[in-house]
Amino acid sequence: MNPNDDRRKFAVVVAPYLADAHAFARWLMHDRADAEDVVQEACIRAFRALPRFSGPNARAWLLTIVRNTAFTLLREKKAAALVGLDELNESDRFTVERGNEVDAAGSPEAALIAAADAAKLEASIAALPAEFREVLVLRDIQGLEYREIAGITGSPVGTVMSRLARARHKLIVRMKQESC
Amino acid sequence: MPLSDDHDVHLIHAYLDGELDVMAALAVERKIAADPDLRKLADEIAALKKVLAEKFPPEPIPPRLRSRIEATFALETRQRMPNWAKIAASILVVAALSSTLTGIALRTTAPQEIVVAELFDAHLRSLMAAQPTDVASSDQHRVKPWFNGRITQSPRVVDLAAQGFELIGGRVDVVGRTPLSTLVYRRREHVISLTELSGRDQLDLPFDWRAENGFNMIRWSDRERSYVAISDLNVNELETFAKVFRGSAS
Repeated sequence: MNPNDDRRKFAVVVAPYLADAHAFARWLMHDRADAEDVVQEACIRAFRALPRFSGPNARAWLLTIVRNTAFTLLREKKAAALVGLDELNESDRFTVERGNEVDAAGSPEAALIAAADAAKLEASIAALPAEFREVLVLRDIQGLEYREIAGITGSPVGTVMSRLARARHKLIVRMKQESC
Repeated sequence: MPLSDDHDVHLIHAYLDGELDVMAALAVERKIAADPDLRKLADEIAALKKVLAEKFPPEPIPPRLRSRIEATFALETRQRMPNWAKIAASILVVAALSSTLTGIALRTTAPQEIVVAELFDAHLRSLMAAQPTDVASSDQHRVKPWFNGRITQSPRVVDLAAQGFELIGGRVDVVGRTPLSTLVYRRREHVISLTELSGRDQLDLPFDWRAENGFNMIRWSDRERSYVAISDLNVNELETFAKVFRGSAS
């Protein structure tokens, strides 16, 4: 394949999903400049890997590369946010997965949740542990299916489901607290 | 969460995410109806999903980052473009950056859909190339003989300049392993790819159109041949194109 063919394939396979890649990187990285660096670097990695890509899901493929690139950069930056669940001991892990919030007493309306403002929501999402945040973002903001998310994050679908449930639960609890 | 076991809770999430089959979904609906706690949970999750989707709609990639990436990957192809191709390229960049990928999305479906998907890809590729034709000519008597020896059929070539569709040339698109003739027309700054199918790839649809990622596609069949026209032209004008092509004498 000559370089021109590679560029064409890049335009057809990768370019349609650059906005997805950027949105995902923004949620993973917090910092705007870092997110752009991640997308740029992910594009270079994707370009190199193009000859090995045979489809069918280019978006999930690109997002996997974005995730790996982001985590590499985060590791380099020794980001505290990236403590793997496996590195936690059993009771910490339980806390992380179950949350240690006491369910707010009373019954706040779902309407309160629906009225949440974007800045507070964004802060709440950003405060989620990375493993929960990526699953929530991929599902509820980027609209991917469970099995696609499982592929991107390299986890079983069951894990995706439990993390998604926990992530949403944490957000709901936090929004109820804020509205009290 | 003191509600019920994790399994039920996960199923409610999956139900609201449209991940369950019909039977499982019905079972979840029954559970929700029977249990006020589950009902409340489902309402809250649904409200959260809704607010997330509303507050964080898809955003375009920042122009600065897009330029940076284009500079990395597309610089050399851009410098050698003739003038008119820049117009096509701008259309393409919009299409490529804002759309999902038709071809790949369609590839899991029927063989005819694969043909159409490949033709979409061919149309996109042609817009990206220095020129969308392998033979550039507005003369139907030059374009038609050019296909001799390149494909097995002699395609129908007509000049529709009088009707506002200028013939600018032709090219061979390979779909599956079959080379097919594609005529390229232009209306204003819009490029139209018209591919002729016959034999095995013959479509059984009399007439049909659809829109994909800002491109319109019309396909129709005559007695022996089928045609697929793809363009970013609006659907009314593309339909007009199809009509005058069908009605013209070669």
